[in-house]
Amino acid sequence: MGMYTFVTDKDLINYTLSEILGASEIDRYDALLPAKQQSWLLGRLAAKQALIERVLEQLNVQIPLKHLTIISGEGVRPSFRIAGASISEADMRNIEQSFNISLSHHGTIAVASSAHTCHDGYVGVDVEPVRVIREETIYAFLTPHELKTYQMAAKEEQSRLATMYWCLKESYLKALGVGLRIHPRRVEMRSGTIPQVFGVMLDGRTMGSVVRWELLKNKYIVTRALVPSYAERREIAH
Amino acid sequence: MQKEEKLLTEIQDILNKTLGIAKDKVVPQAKLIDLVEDSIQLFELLLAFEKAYALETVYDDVVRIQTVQDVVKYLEKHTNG
Repeated sequence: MGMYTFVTDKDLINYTLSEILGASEIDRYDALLPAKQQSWLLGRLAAKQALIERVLEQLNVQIPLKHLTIISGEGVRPSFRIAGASISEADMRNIEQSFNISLSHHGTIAVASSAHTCHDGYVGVDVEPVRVIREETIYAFLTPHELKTYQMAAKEEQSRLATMYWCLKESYLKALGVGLRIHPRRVEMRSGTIPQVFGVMLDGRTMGSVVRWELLKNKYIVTRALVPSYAERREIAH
Repeated sequence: MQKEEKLLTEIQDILNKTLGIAKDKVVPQAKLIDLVEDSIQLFELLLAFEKAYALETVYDDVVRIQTVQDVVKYLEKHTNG
């Protein structure tokens, strides 16, 4: 896909905690349950690397990881703040307002992506390991059309397909900034001529959004959604 | 208060049966995102609550449900008995 950054737990050995996180983020990290800390940290690292590689370096802005702060709360789209860069305050604020980010972490892996809000729209990413999902759950989040595709697939393909559909929907809902406020079954993923690319229907209406997926390390599904138009997001979010 | 305690016990049972979460971890101040592994598990929890209480989750309310206590309050409001 080339449109996202991913990191694993092995990347953490290259940094100390205070090289990745600023003071407020370290406080946040310390407040987490120990079992959640590494995964959260990986999400932060992925998001910051995505910003540095895909936004700041393109603008010739050099900045240490800890001078980027990723701000997220439950149910709220993440944002970021830049401090201490070799550019003006006005330019830093402009970058913060012009770009948006999304991140996802699961165990020992995290992915993140950024997008220019006006040019590309809002981005959403998701990463999940391919695994067996309960039939009851699958039937609850797949639309009738998707379920038909799932049921027609070879048995050994079904886990991957179910995980893929979940990730496609999750990344789209994250790009919209609504999360589970919209039931996943209201969203339908429609494949076209390119197997890695899906179009989106919401409540039976075709949207302008596109979601891409790929298999990472032969065991994770990674998806990236772009919601291009403000009108689509405004209409859906209200 | 009695209804709240009853609901908490039921929620502990549901989380334990659905996701194998130890009941002593399901305390009122526990955050759901700390109890579950990922978004699929969160969705499965919502399904389990819908099934157990024969209710249809108002998904718009989901964003306000952060802790176990929030679940108790939600179920108290949307269920009878």
